[in-house]
Amino acid sequence: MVFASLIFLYIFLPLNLILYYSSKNATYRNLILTIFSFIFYAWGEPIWIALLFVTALIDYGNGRFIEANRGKSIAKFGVICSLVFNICTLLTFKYSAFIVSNINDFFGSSFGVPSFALPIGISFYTFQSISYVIDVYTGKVTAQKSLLKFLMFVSLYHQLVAGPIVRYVHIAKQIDTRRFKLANISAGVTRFCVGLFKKVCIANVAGTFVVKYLDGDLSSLAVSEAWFGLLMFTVQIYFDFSGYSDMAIGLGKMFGFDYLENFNYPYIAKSATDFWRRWHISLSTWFKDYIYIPLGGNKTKGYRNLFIVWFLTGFWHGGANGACWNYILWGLFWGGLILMERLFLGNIIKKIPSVFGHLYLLAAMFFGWALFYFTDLNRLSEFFKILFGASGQQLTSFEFNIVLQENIFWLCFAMLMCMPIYLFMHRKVKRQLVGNKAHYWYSLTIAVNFILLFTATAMLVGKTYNPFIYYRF
Amino acid sequence: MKGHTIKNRFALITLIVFVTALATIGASFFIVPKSTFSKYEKRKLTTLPVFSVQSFFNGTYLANIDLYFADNFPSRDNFVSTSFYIKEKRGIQSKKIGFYKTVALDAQLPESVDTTFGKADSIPLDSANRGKVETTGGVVIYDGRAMEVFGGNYVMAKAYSTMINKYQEIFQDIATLYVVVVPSSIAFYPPTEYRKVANSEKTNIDQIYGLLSPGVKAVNANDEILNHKSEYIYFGTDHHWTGLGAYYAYVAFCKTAVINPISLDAMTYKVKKKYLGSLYYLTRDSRLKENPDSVEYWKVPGNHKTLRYGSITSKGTPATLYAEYASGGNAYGVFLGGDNPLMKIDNEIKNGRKCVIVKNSYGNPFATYFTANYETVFIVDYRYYTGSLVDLVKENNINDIIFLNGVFSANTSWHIKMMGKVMNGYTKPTLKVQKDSIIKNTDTLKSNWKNSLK
Repeated sequence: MVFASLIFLYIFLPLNLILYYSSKNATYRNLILTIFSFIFYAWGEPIWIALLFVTALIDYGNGRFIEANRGKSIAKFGVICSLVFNICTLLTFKYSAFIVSNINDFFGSSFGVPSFALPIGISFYTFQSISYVIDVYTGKVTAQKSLLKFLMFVSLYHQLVAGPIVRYVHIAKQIDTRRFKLANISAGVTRFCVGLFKKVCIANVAGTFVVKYLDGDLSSLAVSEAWFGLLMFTVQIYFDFSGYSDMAIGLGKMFGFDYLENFNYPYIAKSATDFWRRWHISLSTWFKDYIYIPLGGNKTKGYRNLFIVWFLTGFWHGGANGACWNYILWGLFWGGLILMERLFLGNIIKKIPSVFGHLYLLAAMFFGWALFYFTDLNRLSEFFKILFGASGQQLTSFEFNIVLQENIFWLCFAMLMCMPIYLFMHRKVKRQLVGNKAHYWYSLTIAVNFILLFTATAMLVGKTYNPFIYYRF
Repeated sequence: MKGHTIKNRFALITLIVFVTALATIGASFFIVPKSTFSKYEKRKLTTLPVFSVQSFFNGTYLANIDLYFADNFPSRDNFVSTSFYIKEKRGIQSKKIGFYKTVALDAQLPESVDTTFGKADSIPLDSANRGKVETTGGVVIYDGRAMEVFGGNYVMAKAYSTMINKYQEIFQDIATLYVVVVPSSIAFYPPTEYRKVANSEKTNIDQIYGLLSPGVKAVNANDEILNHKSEYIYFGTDHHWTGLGAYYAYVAFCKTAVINPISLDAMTYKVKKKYLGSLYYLTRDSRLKENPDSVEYWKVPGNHKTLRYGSITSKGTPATLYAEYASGGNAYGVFLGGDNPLMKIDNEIKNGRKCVIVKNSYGNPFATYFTANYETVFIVDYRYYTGSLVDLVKENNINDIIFLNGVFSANTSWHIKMMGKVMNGYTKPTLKVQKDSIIKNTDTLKSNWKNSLK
C-alpha cells in the first residue's frame, strides 16, 4: 500500500486510528499497529511478508543472543549472523540481477539472470535491523525482550517502505511506553497533510513532465525541454521523497512516535558537504555511524573510507531492475566533490559570496540527478549532448512554450517550496497570531489542512479518470 | 496556562475533523450505491474482484480492490471535475492553444503489425483494448477545436495497403474494391507553427494509395473535403467528422464510382445541439466546453428496411438508420444507432446493386448516404463482426466493397489486423481479456508504486 492512495487515506488510516485509540492497553495498541503494518505491507507484496517476518525474527534472536552473552566474545557472533543474513538478503533480492548480468558481460558466460520482484522497503528495513543489532552489541541499547514490540519496530508501516531509516535507539523508549499527547497528534495530522500535498500535488505533477520529456525518444527533444525535464526530475525526487518522510513523521506523531527529520531544505545548500547534511539525513548519518566511523573516520585512511562510503551510498540506491552502475557513478561523483571540498574547494567556497556556492551546488545537483535518472549510460550521454546543444537540436519547441505557460504558477510555487519560505511564513504568521488571537492561528491551521487534503484527494481521484475515446455507443 | 488550553482544544478539533472527514468518506463508500459504467469515460468501472488464493498471492486481488475503491469513490465525478479545474489553474491558459499528452501514434512498434490474418486468437474485442490501441494520446486544442495528433508512418501505410491488396486478390474477379482513407481535422486546422513538425496525413494517404494493387479503386476524399474546409465538416469536441464531412467523402466516392450522389437538398436536414464529444471528455478542457458541437444529419428519403445482426448466422433484428433518440454525449449515435457488427439495409431504389461498407464508427454517417444509390447496403464493423467477409460478398452477390477508414485507424496495427481477420471470420475469444486487462492494471499500479519509492 502507499500513503498517497485513496484506500489508505479513507479506509486504512481512519480505521487504524480508531482501533488504536479505542483502548489504552499498551499491548493491544502494539498489536493493532503490528497487524496494520503487516496488512499495509501485504497489500503490495503478500509473498515478501515472509521475508520481512524472518528478518525480524532473526535479528530479534541476534539481539537476545548478544544481550545474554554480553561481555563475552561469543556475542560478536550475533552481529556477524545479522550482517551475513541481511547482506545476503540484499544481495539476493536486490542485487542478484545486477551481479549476474555483470558476470555474464565480463566473462562472456550465460548464467540465467534472476528476476526477483524487488521486495518493497528491503533497503530500509534491513538497515534498521542491522543498526539495532550493532547498537545492542555496542551497548547503546538493551535488546528488546518482547517479540511483538520488536516486530512492531521492524514492520512499522510509517517508515517501512520509503524511510526515513528509523534507528531502534531513537525510538526505544517510545516502543516501550508512548505517551498520549493531543498536541503531538494534531501536529502529526498537519505534517501528514503537508507531506501528502507535496507528494500528490507537486511530485506527481512533476513526474508527468519527467515521463514526457525524459522517457521518450531523446532525438526529438529540444534543448529547453531537456533542461525542463531535468528540472522536473529535481523537483519530483525532492518532493516525492521529502513528502514521504513528512507523511512518515506525521503518522509517527499520530501514534506517539518521534522520528528524526530526514530533509532540511537540501536545495538551498551551498556545497556538496552541506547538501548531504540536508538530504536523506537518516541515510547519510547511518553510513557515517555504521561504516565511515568504524572504518576509522577521517583519522585513519580517511580517503579510502570516504570512497567506500560513497561507493556504497551509490550502490544502495541501485539494484532495481539490475541497474546499478549509474548509481555508483552518482555516489562517487558526490564523494569526489566532498573530497575536493575537504582538500581545497571548501575554503574557496567560504571566501566567495554565497551565491556562487549556491550556483556550484545547483550545477552539481543537476548533473547528479541526470546521472541518477538515466540507468542506461548511452542515453545519459545522449542526454548530456542535448543539454549543452552538442547534438544540433532546436533550442525550444512551440509546444514546450505553451506547456511552460500553462504551468507557470505551479512551477513558481514548486520552486518556492524548495526554499524555507513556508517555514518563514509559518513563523511569521504564528507570531502575529499568538496571545489573544491564537484561535485564529489554530483555525487557519485546520483550514489549511483541509484544503491540502481536499486538493490531494481531488488529484488522486482525477488520476483514475481514464476515458476511452473509442467506444461502442 | 490559558494558551495551553486553547492549544489542546484546537488539537482535539483538528484530530476530530481529520478523523471524521476520513472516516465519513470511507464509510460512505460502503453505503452509496455503486455504478458499473462511467458515462463520461465511456468505460466499465472496476467491479469488486473475486477472491482466489492465486490472485491474492500474485497481488492482483488487492490491487483490484484499490482500483475498485478508486473507481467507486464517493462523489467521484465532482472530485474529477475539481482536479481538472485545478489543472487549468496551474498557469496561464492560452485562449487559443493547448496541448494534452503527446505520445504520438508512431510510438507504436512497427513489428507489431501482423498482416498474416485469419487466426482465431490474439487481440480480443474489449473496450479497454480498443482504447489502448487506437488512442494516440496527443491532442492539440486550437481555437476551441480539439484535434488528435497524427503520428502515422510509412510502415503502417504499407501494412494497411498490403492488407487491402490481399482482399483484391480474392475479389478482383467478382466485385469492385474501393478504398476511402479520410484525413482528420488536424490535416486542416492546426496552428501554423504546429504544421512544421506534424506528420502529414495527405502524404500518408498518398503513400497508402500508391501501394495499392492496380485494380483497387482509391477514392480521393482528401481533395473533396479540402474544397469544403470552411464548412462544418469536423467536430471540435469529438474525434469524428460530422455528417457533412462524411457527405463530401461520399461525393468523392460517387465521382470515382461514376454514380450520381444524392444532393443535400434532396434530404431532410436535422440537428442535435449542445453535443460534447469524446475529446472533451478526454481533456475536460473548458475552452471546448464553451464551444459545444451540433450533430447535423441529413436523412435519405424513403423507406429503409434495416436489420442488425450479431453475426451472419444469427437472425436479424430490426434496427434503424437514424437513431433519433440518441442524445447528450451519445448524439453521434444518431447515425446507424451506433456500432453494430453487421447491418443490412434494403432500400426503395431497385437497381439490383449491392454494396458492403467495411468501417468503424467513422463510417457511420458515411454509410447512411449509400442507401440512396444501392438496393441493398451491408455494413460491417470489422471490430465486432466475426463472420467471413468473403462469404458475405459471395453469398449475397455483392458488387462493391468499400473500405472506409479514418487515417488514424489505417495507421494502427490493431485495426489493420482486425480488418484482415474479418476476411475469413474467426471465433471470438472473450474470457482471456478480462484477466489480461486486470494484470495489466495491476502491473501499472505496482510499477507506479515502485517508481514512487525510488
